[in-house]
Amino acid sequence: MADASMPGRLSSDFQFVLDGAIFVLQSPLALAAALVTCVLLASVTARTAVVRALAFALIASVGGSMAPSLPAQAAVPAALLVLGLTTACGLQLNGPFAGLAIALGGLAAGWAGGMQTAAWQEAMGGGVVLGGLVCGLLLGLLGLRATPARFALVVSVGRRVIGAWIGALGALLLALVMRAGAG
Amino acid sequence: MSASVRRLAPALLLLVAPPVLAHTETALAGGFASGFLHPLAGGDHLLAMVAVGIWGAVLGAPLVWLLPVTFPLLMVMGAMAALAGLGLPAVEPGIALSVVVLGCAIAAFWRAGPPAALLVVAGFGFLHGYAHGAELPAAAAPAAYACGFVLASGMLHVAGIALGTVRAVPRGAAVLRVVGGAIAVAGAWMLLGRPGWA
Repeated sequence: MADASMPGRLSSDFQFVLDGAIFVLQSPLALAAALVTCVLLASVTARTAVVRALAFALIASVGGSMAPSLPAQAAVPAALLVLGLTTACGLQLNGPFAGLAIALGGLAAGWAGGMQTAAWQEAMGGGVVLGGLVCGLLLGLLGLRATPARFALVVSVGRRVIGAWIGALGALLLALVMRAGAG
Repeated sequence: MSASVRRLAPALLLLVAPPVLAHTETALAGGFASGFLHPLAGGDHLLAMVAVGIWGAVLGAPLVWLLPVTFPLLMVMGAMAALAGLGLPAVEPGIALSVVVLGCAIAAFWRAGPPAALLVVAGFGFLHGYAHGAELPAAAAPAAYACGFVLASGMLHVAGIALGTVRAVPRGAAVLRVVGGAIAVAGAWMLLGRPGWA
């Protein structure tokens, strides 16, 4: 016999998943971490983009579930600083370095989600949203390879500008965290 | 009332209804939206950011990416100086002056070498950052404010670079000279205290 409370529990689980997704969507730092990770990775194939997005989603879910136990306030800006400056230098990562960037960006995005209770459903909701976003961005960047030469310059410089600004944001927030710590 | 008006009425009411925002992190004044709108609403910052992008595009590689990358990094240093309480005189006139200089550089197609171009942009970036850093502690959500500000500023730089690529089309250089001249005139008007502005 089916459990009478099953629909209610499913509804409650779904609410948690939705909460996690909304938390992440409301966190500019989580979105910045996803964006800078995408522009740092070299475009390869659509299949690789999907695999990378799945890895990012998984790591972000893990990061989201362990957020309250970590000094995320300083860790997220530090991760943004590293990823941003690497992008600003014009590097496009592939292979194991891409894996490292996905790990760092995913953890930062998960931590930046700002989930307080860190239920597995919430972490999963955040991970699904971030994975979808990263997948869309990576496929979009893959499509940009076909742009005319005149716009290729804007795309190439745009990557560096995004990296520089997100790195600068990381540095600024790190300074604010240190200032708050000193005060 | 016609059927189409009846269908449209609820949508029109939505346009005039005040928003109900439950999550205060982004809804408070000084949050993401406030930071995002700040560079777009302030003429001096908007013109300076776009001008850096255009000038970079005019100067070509490597300055096309070096200028927009240097600007935010020096801005952060300026913001840190403001947060540390460092006193800096004539910040607002300095920002208006940055608009004049960058506008003139575009109008004159000043082919500055990398050290000179970087020095100009770094100095003005520091000033802009100082002004924003002074406003940050008052923001309700500094992280969200900074994210919004960064996103809008980066978009303005890229828009400036995109505008600078107009140079490649016939009469594109003349268009850019006119745009640069207009930016310089706007900067001069700001430097003079915006006469005629209520």
